[in-house]
Amino acid sequence: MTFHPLLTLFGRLEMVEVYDIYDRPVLFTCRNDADTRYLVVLVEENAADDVWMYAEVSPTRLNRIRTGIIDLHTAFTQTETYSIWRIRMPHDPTAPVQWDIKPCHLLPLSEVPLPGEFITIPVHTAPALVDDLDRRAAQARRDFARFGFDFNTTLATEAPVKPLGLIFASIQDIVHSLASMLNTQFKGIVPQEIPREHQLVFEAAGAGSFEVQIASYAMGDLFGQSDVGRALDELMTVIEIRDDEDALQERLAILKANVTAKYLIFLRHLRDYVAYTHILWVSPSGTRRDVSLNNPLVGDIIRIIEKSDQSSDETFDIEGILIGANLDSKTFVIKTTLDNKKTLDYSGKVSESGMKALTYAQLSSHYRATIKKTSTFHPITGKIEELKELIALTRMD
Amino acid sequence: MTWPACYPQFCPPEESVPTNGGVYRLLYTETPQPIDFKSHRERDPLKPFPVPECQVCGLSVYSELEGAIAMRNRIPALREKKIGFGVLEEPHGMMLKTRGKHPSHHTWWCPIECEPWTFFTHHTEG
Repeated sequence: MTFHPLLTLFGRLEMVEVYDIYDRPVLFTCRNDADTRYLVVLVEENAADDVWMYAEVSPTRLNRIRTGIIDLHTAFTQTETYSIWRIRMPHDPTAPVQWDIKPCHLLPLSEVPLPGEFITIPVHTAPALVDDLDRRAAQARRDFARFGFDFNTTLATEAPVKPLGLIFASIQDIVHSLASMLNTQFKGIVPQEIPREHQLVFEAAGAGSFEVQIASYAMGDLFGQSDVGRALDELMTVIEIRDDEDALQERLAILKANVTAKYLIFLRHLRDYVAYTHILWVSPSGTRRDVSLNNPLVGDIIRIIEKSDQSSDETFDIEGILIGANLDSKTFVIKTTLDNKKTLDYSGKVSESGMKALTYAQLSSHYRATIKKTSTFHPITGKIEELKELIALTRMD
Repeated sequence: MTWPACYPQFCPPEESVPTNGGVYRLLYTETPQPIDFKSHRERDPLKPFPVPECQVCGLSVYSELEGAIAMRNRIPALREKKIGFGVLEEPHGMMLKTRGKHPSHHTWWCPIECEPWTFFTHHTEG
């Protein structure tokens, strides 16, 4: 639609959405070919011309205005550019258009919508989730977590499918990594298969910001403790550190490279797709924690992690069958059997102290091995390089 | 009924109904004038509008006072307008509930022979 042949200030404008009509559209949004959007309202009308007010709006803010989170008064008096355009358009299409730019905080009340007036686009998604998590967590003896997202490009009550999937996959991964590491039986490697005790399930979705509620698949013990609960508790602690560089480096050094890698993936998805995130966790024992992250803060945390040195060592014992040993190349392979009957091979170099025992070792025999694992996290690629070294070997049979 | 020359074909729309009931409309002054009941198409014959042409040929009215008040609150250009009230009957044209913020918003298609400024009055706000 052509607004006025001589209005070229914003380029070619196209009407996007009309919110109010009084004989004609009087409140609407439009955009130009550069996809810059404007919220527009009629300020004056008289015999010779009309005066319109244009406020430039980002997609995120426009969503919040459209869905009634920000009222119209605020939309025009607190613009993201701190200013509005005032356009005087003559009814005569050949007469010149006049415009000027004004600081939005100086607008008189007579020239803006009154406070308390909202646009409310009808939505077709679920109603807001009821806050009864404490009761539900206690009754079900499961951990519940509610994630609220303001996605960059959609209505506040909707979410793009792929980013949502990526974010929740990364949440499951980080919970699994944390739950594995916090387990006293941890053998230094986070298994690829996620056990039931670490699994999260989708529980409900709701409106407001876009909200998703998840829960632990498995129940907690009699005290309301669970692997997922411990993992979520730790995740909240890490997030609450926010961009305190020293504290974050110290915490991630304790949690090691695998968790750091998963946390970074989670943050990157938030940075790429979400303007604002709120997380609420409730445990069966009544622990309740919540945190929030905005996009700039997520970017700061990512920068801290990306420039950090994430190389860590850990030493642990395993038991298994020696299935490979090469004295020339100083390498070994030990096959272990996991609780679920699946097998896991540990392989790598042999240290000087390990070589003595390996020299007299017998293949296919059962051994206890002391392994030193060095994990190096490469923040740019998000990959973890792990090197294992056999330190000691003791025959068991 | 004789419709203004600017009305497109099939306007008023088939789903519209004969006017019936009290409605509120915004007025320039306390005394209703012909200009208060001129559609934007009649005022601006050439300008394109991004809504159906038939709707631009009609007049916005509200079946509830709150609707008219809300529109004044939201749109600065309408803030100083007065509120007029008139009781519409069958000879006064056709109307249809149309899109608007307030659920009482209707579009009214007014035939040439109807002179609404003669039976609309200024609604005194208490």
